[in-house]
Amino acid sequence: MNMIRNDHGAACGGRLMSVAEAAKLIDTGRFLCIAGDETPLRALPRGNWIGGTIPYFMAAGGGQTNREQVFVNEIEPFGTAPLIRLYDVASLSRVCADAPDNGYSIIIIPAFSAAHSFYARNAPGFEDMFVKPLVGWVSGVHLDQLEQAQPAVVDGRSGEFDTERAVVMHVTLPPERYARVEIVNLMRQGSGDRIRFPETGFSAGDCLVNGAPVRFADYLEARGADLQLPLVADYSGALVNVSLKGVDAAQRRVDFYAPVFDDVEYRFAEAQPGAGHPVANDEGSAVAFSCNCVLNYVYEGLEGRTTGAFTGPMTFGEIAFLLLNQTLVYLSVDRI
Amino acid sequence: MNDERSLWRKLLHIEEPWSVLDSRADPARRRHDVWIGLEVPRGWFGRARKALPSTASASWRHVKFGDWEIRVHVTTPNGADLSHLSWAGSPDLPFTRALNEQIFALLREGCSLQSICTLLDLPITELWRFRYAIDNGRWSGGAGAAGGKQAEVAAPAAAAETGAEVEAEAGAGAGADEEIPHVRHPVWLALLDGSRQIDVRVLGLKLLLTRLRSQFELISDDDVRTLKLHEFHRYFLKNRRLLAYELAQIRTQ
Repeated sequence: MNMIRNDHGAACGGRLMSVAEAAKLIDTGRFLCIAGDETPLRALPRGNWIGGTIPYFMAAGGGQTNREQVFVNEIEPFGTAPLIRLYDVASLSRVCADAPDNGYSIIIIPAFSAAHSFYARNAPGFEDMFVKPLVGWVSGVHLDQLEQAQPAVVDGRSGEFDTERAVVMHVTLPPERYARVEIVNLMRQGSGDRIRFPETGFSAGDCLVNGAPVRFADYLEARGADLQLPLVADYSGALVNVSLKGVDAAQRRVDFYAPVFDDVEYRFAEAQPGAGHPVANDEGSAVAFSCNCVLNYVYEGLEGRTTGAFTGPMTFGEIAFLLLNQTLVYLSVDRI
Repeated sequence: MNDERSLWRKLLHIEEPWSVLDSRADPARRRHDVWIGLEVPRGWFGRARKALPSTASASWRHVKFGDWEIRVHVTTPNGADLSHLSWAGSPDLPFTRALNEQIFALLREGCSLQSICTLLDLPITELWRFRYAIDNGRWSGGAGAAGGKQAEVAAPAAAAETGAEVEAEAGAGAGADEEIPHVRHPVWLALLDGSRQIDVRVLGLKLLLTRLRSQFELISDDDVRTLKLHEFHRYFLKNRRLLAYELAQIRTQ
């Protein structure tokens, strides 16, 4: 297998491969995270893997839409078999508490499910959130099939596809190793209006702009806002995006791809001329897992272009503890 | 009053004008339900009993007695102040104040929500509601509940006032952990109230610090603030290998 290895000899990264090749890997009993369109995922045998539906990838050769192959991340077990679990909305708040004391967890959540909504709005309050490394992504479908197809996740042990629950792999690390979650956000918080929302949620009617109440849809219209630029919140230096999905003209409601929070201040992103994804060939090479946003794929025209050595699915939402948008997320496993 | 109602009155420390109106045991579910209310005023020398004003009802889960779950159902005149009663709770929370105190003490000791659920036999959803109230400054430790509060940990304000003393203590205790200042060291409070800034590189710490700072703005209760300081300190204990850069700044006053 053409795996990237970091300085410490730990397996890392992943790659796009045929269903037959992935099936062979599964049959060896290895622990895998697999992303792919529904048809190739359904063709895979049962085994120690979790998966999610998505047909967009950042492969070693560049971004591509691929409905035949699957993207496989091999998870190094370091002597302890990772634990695979499905979480519904009633148990999802325990996802970090269930994680090993030293290790990390990879979560895949089906887009538009109750788990997706619950996680996005409540994750900051989950027990042990931010304390134990948690990364993952939101599964999706081909953008031409948003109305017909349903995003799903897969528990590879049973081959069960699930459109409502999240699937998680908890990975234990030995004492001499530790995991680190990081993000690459090309957006910069602008210096414009300060925006707050009265309620946490995936949509907003009213908001406060510099303290004054405004209908957010009216504000966007008056400003001639570029909907490709997200709202950006500054979490002690970590810039967290919330991307705009669109404006419901009849309801005068603005919808988002991730929730806005009622206790966070936002500003619109400023375009950064010349900014681009990491392109150096070795950047991202010590990464065990990464994913990026389908909006970056579309808005930045990443088809055929690379993002350094960062490879992985281009998703309907990236998870680096919180649900993010338009952000590259990665996890590395380092040795002390 | 019959013997059982009298016993519940003593066990729950119920005092006049409150009274145990009824109690019922369900041995199959190992559960006791106790109804508490204001006793209807007696007629005086043959006069008719006074009618009670309009009432409201609420139910809370109370501290277990042995392996029996206790549910308290209280009927009160509208607007009655129950805030000092350990056998009552807040209208928006599932537990009585006495049980809140018990849970809070376990949280302060670092018990996970799941452990608390197991120890006290509580549903996670109810415990989460309580936790949410704490995080949003809607619950104050002690809150006047009779005999419930035990200040085992120094309050943040006290920690700040006795900074030098605490620093000395922290130094003395450094043998156990030279990398991370003691939880009572004033630096933790300074980081959470924003009076001390450090350059943070680790994503998890950036997100956690932002969340705790925003909670700190809402929380005025010293015990709850202490709980948050403990949470913050535990994060450093668990993730010290990631935090060399940040800890180096914290150790440099």
